[in-house]
Amino acid sequence: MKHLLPLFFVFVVHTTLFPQGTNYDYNRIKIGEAQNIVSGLALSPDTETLAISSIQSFPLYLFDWKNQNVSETLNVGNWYAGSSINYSAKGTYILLNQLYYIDFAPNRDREVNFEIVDVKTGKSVKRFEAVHSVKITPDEKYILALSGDEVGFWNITTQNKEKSFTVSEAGNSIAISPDGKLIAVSHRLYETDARKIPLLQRDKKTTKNALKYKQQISVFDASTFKKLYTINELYDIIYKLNFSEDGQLLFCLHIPHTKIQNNSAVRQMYVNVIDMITHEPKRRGFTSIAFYEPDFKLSHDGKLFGIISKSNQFLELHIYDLESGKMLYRFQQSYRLFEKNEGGMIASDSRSSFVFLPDNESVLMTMGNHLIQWNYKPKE
Amino acid sequence: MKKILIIVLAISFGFPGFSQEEMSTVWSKDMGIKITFSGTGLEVNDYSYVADAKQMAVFSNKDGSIYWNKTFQEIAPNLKKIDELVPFWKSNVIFLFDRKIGKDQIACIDLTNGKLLWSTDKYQNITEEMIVYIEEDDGFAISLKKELVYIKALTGEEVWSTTKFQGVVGKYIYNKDDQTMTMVNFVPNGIVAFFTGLKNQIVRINMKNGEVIWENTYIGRADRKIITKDFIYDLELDGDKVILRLAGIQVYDYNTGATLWSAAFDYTPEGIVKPPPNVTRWGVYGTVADPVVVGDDIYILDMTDKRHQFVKKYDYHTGKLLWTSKEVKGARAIPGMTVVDDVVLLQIGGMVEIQYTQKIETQYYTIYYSVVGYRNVKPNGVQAFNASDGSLLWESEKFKKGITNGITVGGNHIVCSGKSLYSINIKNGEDNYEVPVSKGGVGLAELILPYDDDIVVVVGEKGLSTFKAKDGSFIKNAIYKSSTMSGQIGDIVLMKTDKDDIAAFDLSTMTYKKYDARKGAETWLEREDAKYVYVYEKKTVTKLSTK
Repeated sequence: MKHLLPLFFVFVVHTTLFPQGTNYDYNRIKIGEAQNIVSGLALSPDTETLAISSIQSFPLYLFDWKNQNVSETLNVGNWYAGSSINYSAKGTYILLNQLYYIDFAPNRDREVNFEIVDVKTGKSVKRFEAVHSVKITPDEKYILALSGDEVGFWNITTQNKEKSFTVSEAGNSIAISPDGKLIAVSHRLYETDARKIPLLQRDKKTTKNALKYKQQISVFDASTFKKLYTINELYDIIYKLNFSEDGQLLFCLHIPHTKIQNNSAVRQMYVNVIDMITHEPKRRGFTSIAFYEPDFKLSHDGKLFGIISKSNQFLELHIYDLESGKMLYRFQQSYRLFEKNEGGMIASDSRSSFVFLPDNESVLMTMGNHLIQWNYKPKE
Repeated sequence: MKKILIIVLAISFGFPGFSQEEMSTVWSKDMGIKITFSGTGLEVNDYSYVADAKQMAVFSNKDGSIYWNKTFQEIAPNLKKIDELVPFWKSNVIFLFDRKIGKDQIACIDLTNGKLLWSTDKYQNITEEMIVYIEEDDGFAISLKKELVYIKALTGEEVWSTTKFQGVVGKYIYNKDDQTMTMVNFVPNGIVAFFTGLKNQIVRINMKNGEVIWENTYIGRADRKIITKDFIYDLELDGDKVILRLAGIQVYDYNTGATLWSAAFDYTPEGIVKPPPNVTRWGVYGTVADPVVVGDDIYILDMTDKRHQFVKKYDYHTGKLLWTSKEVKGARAIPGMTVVDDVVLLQIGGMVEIQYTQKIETQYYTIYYSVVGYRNVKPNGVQAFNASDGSLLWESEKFKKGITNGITVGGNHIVCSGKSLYSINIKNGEDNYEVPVSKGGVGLAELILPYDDDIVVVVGEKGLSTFKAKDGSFIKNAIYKSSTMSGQIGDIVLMKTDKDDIAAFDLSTMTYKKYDARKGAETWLEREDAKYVYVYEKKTVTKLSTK
């Protein structure tokens, strides 16, 4: 029996991570001595450094992903459930967006905390409490913060609000185009606009439901704050707006109100694409059934679109061809219950973040307190 | 008076001159076996069989000559009698089951010569439902309690087994190019206890080695109808999408198995049709129309709530809800939905299929009857919605005498209320015409069929009649007796009475040929070109010509 006991532990403890399916080319990367689940990933604009945030108030890591070394740890963004992170356009700042485990009011406007960190000094530049959305302008001069109906321009050096404009019934999201000329803001459907939409002319109930559950995106001139146009499409509750690097596309993550979900078993979320040249919404989109607002990104060559989703049990990363909308690759973060290894717990907390690597052939994604490098393009 | 009598006699005796012909007998043969099991093979293959519990005979479709006749013990010494017999026509093999608790025998025989190909007692407690013939690969997928075993049909060689697939193979899609199969699992009603802790699986499997390429789950109960065993759901491949039409729609990526989106509604047609007394098993089918895909859009009926029903339009690629229609008020069943010229047409109420087993118990005996039939679910009518925004375009008046399916001819919706044939302008709901189907003289309409470009065939209670789709003018009829449609192959429509008499109607001539069979006779309309009907009565097999 004594002989069998160590053998049992070997089997139980020394299990390996295995994604479901076959022919996955991947490896696991430890982040120094990190013990906590990592929650956010962002790749610096020069693609050299990976910023990694984690849960339970542990530091933000700056990670040399090529040599797999933690280069710095920053004591910022101390939020229990972690944060999602983004680099500013030139890589001078990192924007941290507080995350929660549970969204107790999934249909209400989300108000969370944000923090901007100077990468060089490792110091917090500015914190925002209970605002909807924060973005850094491409010239890194201003922080845009959507609070209530107001979009404020905060000087990043003086930390003073210098200008602002109001968007009536603004929602949760703002985005600024890479050339800094346009600002997209999500907002509730206005009654005056609803009257002009043929789809809503059917009856009072349809209009009432649309006013209750649907949102739109309006685009403003970033210098004059004049509303330029409203995208001719109704969206569900919009949680994230992101421009593509070339500014030609605007990605919109929206989640239906719980009363109008397709089915009760899963919560479906959609990322729809808007052509910013024609201002027309593209018909094709991408769906996720992740537990939380899913991370989504474009590959460096702009050809692939990745989004976190899940299957019945495990988190997944889906990679699509952006143009055709065809799914090309799927990675399922499968693991055994109570699975551990020498580095500690690897099970995730039902959230994951990822970045495309500059080779356009692989991604780094979070799983528990590790990273997974998945080479999605099969080697010849 | 004499004149009247002569006229009456002339009428009485004269009609047989105009009556329809009997089907001509190609051959009729006493097979020497009281027919308990029968199977009609393809005309091109030329093999069919009859059997009882102890012996079977295989005969030629061409002339009825017997190729071979053997007892099962002669075929395989281990087989004393058989309990089930499952033919697989394309590979010319038959599975035989001899059930004895703990000693089940399975034998596979060559249909052409009666020779034993292989037999085994390795697989115990297997029922017919647990074996699925994969025609495209000439193999059998056998579902055991803990694994799925795949064996070659001709040799019985076990090619692979996997524990990653539980339950019985349901509908599947076979890909010949890479020899992979995408399939859903299910547990047949009678053997629920056999598979415990089963989860709903949809998997794509490499048929060369049993490797699971991907696996996912689905929502709902993928079942078969209780009597005919037809699947009550659909699985199909559309480009890179695997479409599972079960409890709404569930869409998967074919290459990776990822869930793309779903619109699943929990719906059970309870209380729509009341079962007769002493029913032991009961099923109602066809109460909700299948989703309809038009370009980038898909239209799905949401019948979750018994009092409120809606049509919902989704983006076919992402599942994003585009609109929800105005409420379809009062519909208890919506068996038909079509989308034509930007109009969504709904058939409200109408015939739904019922299947049940009824227990008749007397002082002396207990009998179980299996019944397959149809019942009209009221209210009946047609509603049309604008496909652009889901608004109600028009609504027909309530059809008091039932409703048939609808067909579209030249931009008009043609439907029968039972008593009248209507052509309705799809755009505004106005009647182009209303003509009484009594002109056809075949009783109330049960079904309508399109024929050629401008003909509507009304399948009535007592035969068939035809009308011009354009103006509703009556063309021709062929009056038979009370019967229901039993099948259609090409131009041939087979009608069958409660007493198992049959008539084969030729739509090209609107004539029929009939055959008065014995009560309890099994009939089989040949599937390739419907030229023949096989009738199995007691010990006799009769091949009839429908032409």
